[in-house]
Amino acid sequence: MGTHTTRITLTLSRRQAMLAGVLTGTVILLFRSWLEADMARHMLVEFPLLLVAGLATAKALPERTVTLIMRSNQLGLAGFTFVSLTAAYWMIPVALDQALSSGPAAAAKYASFLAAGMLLPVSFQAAPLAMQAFFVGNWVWMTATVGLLYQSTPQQLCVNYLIGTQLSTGEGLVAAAVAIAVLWCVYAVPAYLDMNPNM
Amino acid sequence: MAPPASWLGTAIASCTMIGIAAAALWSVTFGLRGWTAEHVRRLRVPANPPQLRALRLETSTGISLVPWGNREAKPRIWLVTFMYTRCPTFCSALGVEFERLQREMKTDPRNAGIGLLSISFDPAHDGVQALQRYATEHHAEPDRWIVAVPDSRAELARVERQTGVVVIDDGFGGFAHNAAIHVVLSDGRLVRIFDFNEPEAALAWARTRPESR
Repeated sequence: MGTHTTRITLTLSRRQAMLAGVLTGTVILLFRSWLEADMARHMLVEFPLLLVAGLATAKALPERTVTLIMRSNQLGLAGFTFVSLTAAYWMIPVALDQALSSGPAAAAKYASFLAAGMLLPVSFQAAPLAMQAFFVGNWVWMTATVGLLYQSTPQQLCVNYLIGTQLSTGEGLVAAAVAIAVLWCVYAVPAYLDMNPNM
Repeated sequence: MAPPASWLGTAIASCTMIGIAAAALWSVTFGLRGWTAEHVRRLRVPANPPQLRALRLETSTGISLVPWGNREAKPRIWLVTFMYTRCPTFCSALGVEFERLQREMKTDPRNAGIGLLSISFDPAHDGVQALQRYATEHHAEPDRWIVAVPDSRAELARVERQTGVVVIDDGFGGFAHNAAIHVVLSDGRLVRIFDFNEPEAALAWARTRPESR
């Protein structure tokens, strides 16, 4: 009886997850040109939405596929590597411009963020706190540095975006870096204390 | 039973990702030499000159002209800028620079084969009259400096795509665009891109080409 109930819940939540993934994907496709017309919307709204779409889709993946992926994702290392590379690459101004001017580059951007979103939760589950600290910390300082650079460069970095939106993107990236750092600490400190009750 | 997790698989997966990312980075930054699209464009052009298609223009004197790319094009080396006549910033600075360059060119017969060309990307506002006003304001002499607008929006879009010029709305009813001096040969090859504030360097480089004589 119990097993039966669990299975139904699982199927439903899978279906809901799939639905959420497809919905987010549709929203991105529908509002694509609006999202990408502004640098801040492109990097601070569209990128996270793509991650969410990937995240939801990953929940809908069959158990077997996840097991297969996790075979090559010991401690979440490969997954975190992929997420870090994706985040770093699309912060480069020329790469961001190329995602607007070239179809294949745009496709690579969508695919890499979707995949990054799919890999994030399973990698977090597999990674010990030290591994998480390394990758979260790495992403935080990288994003904050890029955010500061976007703000301090007097030159327009992207041919497709004005300097005003470059400035607000820089501020947004720093804010995102701080927010993620705080959120992760809120999650990690109690988890660490749980594991080390003597402290 | 689930297969055991493998460190070898993880290592191979991670290294493959790093390899692909490094290759993409190398390619998009032109060998780690440029981080902005404008910089990379200026590096790519001399290494691999793009072949521009024939472009039909309407000039400020009301004639139709094909500066490069077909049999109508006279052998010449063009210093080309993209602008719009209402522009208060870069384009009027470019206009002043070109005016100065035109004066300088007149003093030296070696420049006979070099032409200045200002192409407007704002056909909605820049008809023959607006172009004429701009040409008069900057004392453009039609045999040395041509102020023109592409014949059609399709031709404009194509030349922008081929040269890598990006024009965006500046939010104040005008445009923001990458301002530069493009050196184009009459066979349609875009061979160099100079910064908008180094017209002398562009002229000096053009003089070294056999087409300039």
